[in-house]
Parts: sequence; C-alpha cells; structure tokens
Amino acid sequence: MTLLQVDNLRVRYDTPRGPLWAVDQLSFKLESGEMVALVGESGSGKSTTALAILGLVPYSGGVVETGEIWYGGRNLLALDEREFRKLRASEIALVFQDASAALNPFLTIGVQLAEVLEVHRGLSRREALTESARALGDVGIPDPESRLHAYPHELSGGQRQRALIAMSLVAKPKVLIADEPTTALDPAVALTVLDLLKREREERGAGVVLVSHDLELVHATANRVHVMYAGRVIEQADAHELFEHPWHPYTAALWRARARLGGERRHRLAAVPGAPAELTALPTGCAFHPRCELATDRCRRERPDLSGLRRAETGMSLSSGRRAACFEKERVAGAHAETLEA
Amino acid sequence: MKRFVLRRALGLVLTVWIVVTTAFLMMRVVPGGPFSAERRLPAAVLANVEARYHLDWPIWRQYLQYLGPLNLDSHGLLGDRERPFGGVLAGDLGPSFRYRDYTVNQILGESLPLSLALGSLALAWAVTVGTTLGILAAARRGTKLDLSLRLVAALGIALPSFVIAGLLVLVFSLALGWSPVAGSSTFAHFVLPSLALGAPVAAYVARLVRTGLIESLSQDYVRTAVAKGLPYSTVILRHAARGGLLPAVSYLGPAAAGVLTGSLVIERIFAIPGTGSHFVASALSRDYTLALGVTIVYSVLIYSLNALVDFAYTRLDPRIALEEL
Repeated sequence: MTLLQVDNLRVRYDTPRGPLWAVDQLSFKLESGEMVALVGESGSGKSTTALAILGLVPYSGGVVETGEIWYGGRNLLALDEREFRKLRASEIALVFQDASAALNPFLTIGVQLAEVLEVHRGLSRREALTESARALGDVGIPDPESRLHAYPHELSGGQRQRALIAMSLVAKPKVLIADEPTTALDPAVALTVLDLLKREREERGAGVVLVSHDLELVHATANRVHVMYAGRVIEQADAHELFEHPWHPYTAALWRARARLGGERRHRLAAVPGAPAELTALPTGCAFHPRCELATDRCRRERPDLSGLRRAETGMSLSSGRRAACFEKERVAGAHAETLEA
Repeated sequence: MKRFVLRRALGLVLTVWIVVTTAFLMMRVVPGGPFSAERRLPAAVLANVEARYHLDWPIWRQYLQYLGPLNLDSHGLLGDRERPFGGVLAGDLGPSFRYRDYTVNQILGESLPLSLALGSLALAWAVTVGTTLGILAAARRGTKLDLSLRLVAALGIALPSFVIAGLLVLVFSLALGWSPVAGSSTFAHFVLPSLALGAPVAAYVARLVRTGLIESLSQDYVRTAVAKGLPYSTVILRHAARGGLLPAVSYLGPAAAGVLTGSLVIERIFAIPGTGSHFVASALSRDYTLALGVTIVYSVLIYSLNALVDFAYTRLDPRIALEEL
C-alpha cells in the first residue's frame, strides 16, 4: 500500500543573491513498512524535502512552487494550515536530528510528550501523561514515570534522543520523516534508534523517509534510495543495487568517499572532487558536470533526465524503477561490470 | 531557597553600606552646604546651626554618628547616655536639614507611599500592555499590525514624559473632563499620571518582548512545536514565550526601581507630593540626610528587585538553579 507519494515537487527560496530551487522535479513513493532514503551532500535538498512533507516550507521562508504530496487520498499541499496541523505528529511525524536543540529546555519531558496527545487525541493531561510514560518506556527509558517530570537538561544525551523519538512516535504516526536521526549520536545509541524505527515499520507498517548522508547506514537499512544533487534526484534504485552498481558518476563518487567504520587508517578519506554546486548559480547542462571525470560537451549543454538503462548495453538485469540522470550511465555501469569481472 | 535569601540579604547589607559610605563622602566633597544660602548667615549664627547638626565635627565622626548605632553626641555614648541608639543602622535617617522640624523618616513616610502606589499602577499596566503588544507584534511580524505597534513603541520611548502627560491632561481632563487635572486625593487622580509614567516602560517592554520572542521563534525547539501540529497560539505562548520574555524580565528589575521611587516631572505636573521631587531637590539644596535617605531607599529597592528578577529567572528557566545564584 502506498502511504505517501510525492510528485514533481519544486521548492523555491528567495535569497539576496537571487532565487534558488532547493528541490526540483522531485518524485518518490513510500510504501507501508518501507524505508526510503534521501541521500546527498549538504545543500542537495534532502532536508527541504523533509520540511515540505510536513508543510513546513513556508515556515522556513520558502515557497512550494509546484508539486503534489499525496497522503490518504488527499493532496497535502492543497490543505490549509488548519487541516495540515491535524496531520502533523499524528499521521506524519518528524524525527529531528539534534535532541538537545529540538526539545524545549523550558518544559518537562512529560509536558512535551503529553501535549501531542492532548492536541491530536483530545486526551486530558492526566491520560496523556500516562500514555506518554508508556511511550518513554517503549523506547527503553528506565523509570519513565519519574522521567516525565525531568527537564531535557536533566537527561543524558542518549535519553534525550530517545525521549525525542518517543515524542515523534507517541501519537503513532503512519509516516516518519527521520532527518539525520543518528548523526549526533554515538554508535550504540544510533543502533537503538534504528531498531526503534525498524520496529515501527514491522509492527505497525509505518513508512520511514530517512534523510541522511551516512551511506553505510542507508545501505544497511533502507529499501530504496534516492540520490540527490543540487535539488534533483539524479539516481534512484534499490539500496543494495545502487551502491554495488551505481549508474551515476556522483553516486559512485559518494560511495567511494564514504567513511568506513573499521576501515584501514592508512588510506586517506577519498572526497568527491570539487565543491558542491552553488544553487544560485547552477552550471548549464548537468549540474554535476564541473566535478565529473566523464563529462562531455553534451553534459555541458543539456540537462539529462532520469531514465532507465537498455539491457543490451550492460548485460545486467534491469530492475523496475531503477533510473539515473546521466548521459554516460552506460559507461559508469559498464566500468563497474568490468571491475567486477576483473 | 534559604541559602539564596541569606546570601542576598547579606549582599543587600553590604551594598547599601558601600552606597551610603560613597554617597556620604561625595555629598561632603561637593562645595556648599545646607546652610550656605545667597543671604549669608552671620558667622556666629552659622556656627551655632552647624553645631546643632554636628557639622563642626570631623568627617569620620559625622559618618559614624550618621551610621549609628553609637550615639557620639552629648546624649549618647560620650555623654549622659540618654539616647544610646540612633543612625541608619537603627532605621533612623536623621533630621532633614532643609525641612525644619521634619525627620527624613517622616518625609519618606509621607511621600513614598504615594510614589509606590503611583509606580505600582504604572508598572502593572505597562507590563501587561507591553507584554501583550510585544507578543502580538512578534506573532504577526512584518504585518501592518507589527509595523504600527513598533511605531507606537518608538513614540513611547522617544516622547518625553512631560509631553505625554501634557497631552493626557489636555485630552482627558480639559477636553473630555473625565479625570481630575492634578492632586492625589482619590484613585482617579492617579490614572493619568500612571499612564504617563508607565508609557516609556510599556514601550520598552513591548520592544524587548518582540525582539526576544522573534529570537526564540527561530529556535529549533519552536520548529519542533510547529512540527508537532500544535496550534500557533500554543507554539507562541507555551514554547516561545518563556525564552522570549527573559530579556524583558531583566530590564524590569532596574526599571521598576526607577518607576516606584517616583518621577520628578510627573509628580510636578500632577501635583503629587511623592518621593521623586526629593531626589532632585535634596541634592541641589545639600540636604545631606534627605539625599542620603532617598539614596538608601533607591538602592534597597534596586537590590531587592534585582534579586527578585534572579528569582524569576529560575522560575522561567529550569536550567538556572537557585543555589548557583
């Protein structure tokens, strides 16, 4: 069952240096129980996408120019603020990345959890607190009743992150948008967070949109991946296919540049060459061409669209829905085929 | 809590002592004295009068006498011991040098309640209105409402209080006849002066609340509140307001002390015999004891109100522990 469908989303920010499109022509689907990942360097538009799904783009000063976001038979972008508000946290919830900034330092954990249930479920404060204690217990916080009365600064970092996740999950939303949920965490806490997200998917059929630049994490947990560059999806594929046989030179470069846990220290960390594209001054043609080794004259002139690959050229099986926006994807895919054969 | 109160009490005593000492010395350094008028007194008369107030003593002895509790004159420690106590430490601020037959305690006892009443009234409306308008302006920032509120606030700060007072009297007393022009006998007499006195405070509070709230609206935790689907009013009042109010709270400590001790201008315009006029008059006429008296009242108020602000901070922000202040 498709939970969420984003069609042709385009988000504009007006900056002193002119307009920029943080997200352009973005489309993807999220199925029940599935985790879809949006990856890319900072500024690639992945966080803006997360904001757009929650209707928070106007709040951050941007404009949704075109696009539709379908959820439960309704186009969210056509809803007024009042109706949208009812969906936030109750149907679609955001899991923020930095718990020490995302939790209100002036309010107790209990109040911050309970208010979600008071607003969306119409519970009394007392009922909401009981329910909140249960939610805190579910994410593995010991002695949840007493933690209700604690302020965020009285919790440890790991507990804060768990409390934040409990807050996102307390109203049992169908869609979870996790914006770099593990970036600020040490590996042990990160694992429990991922377990929690997994449990939500398996037990309740919730869908997760994972926004991350941690490719190892994405590779290990996501079902499908959308690689974003300069506001556009430049490659989309199943997670295991994408990194093993990238079609887009950018995906290949990202994968080479990932930090590997337990990797050999002697190797210097490879970086994607060049600087990320300037959104206010995008190059002509393919936005990635200034950083691409394979760039041709055509790449400098024309912008490639997302498209599939013809079977004859690779000899690899074609998976449905796998696409990349590159004129030279045959060469990239072919290069991989060769290295694999060699 | 107990420790906080104890520490602040100790700090208050120490601060007031330093203020009294400094003020006492500075008053004496300034040329002229309470009895140096244009019409010079005959030398013998002057000597008599000065002896009556112990101005002929060396300054350290005058200071000790003023401070108390040791009475150094012929009725105290050094004389017949009829009046062993006196001086500031015993709560006796001494006789006024200019208002003969009045003690400073009597003068303050009559004028301070008026100023406190007027000031409380001014503070009450200024804080309520200022906070409300500040929140409104921040919540609707960039709109016409915000713009006009900012303009009004700028006017409130820029216009001197005598202009505001004059306008109020013109409109509400003379044109409409709703309010008495001047005096202090009924509650109605206090309405216009408290409006004029509170106007700049309300304007400052509105500005500080607006700026503070806009600042706190950009915090991540406020975005979290929006993402939780809370109504905008809850986002503002529950999540953003606390952090946004802190700057206004710290401004209010000293501001309240200023307002509560009265304003020369407002008291003159509305003929209210409050403490404000004594501040200026006593310093000009070298009424040593009265000037020191109002200084003490002012420093006690400032100190206590700042302690109150610190206490309010711990109530507003759970990260600040009372014990650490």
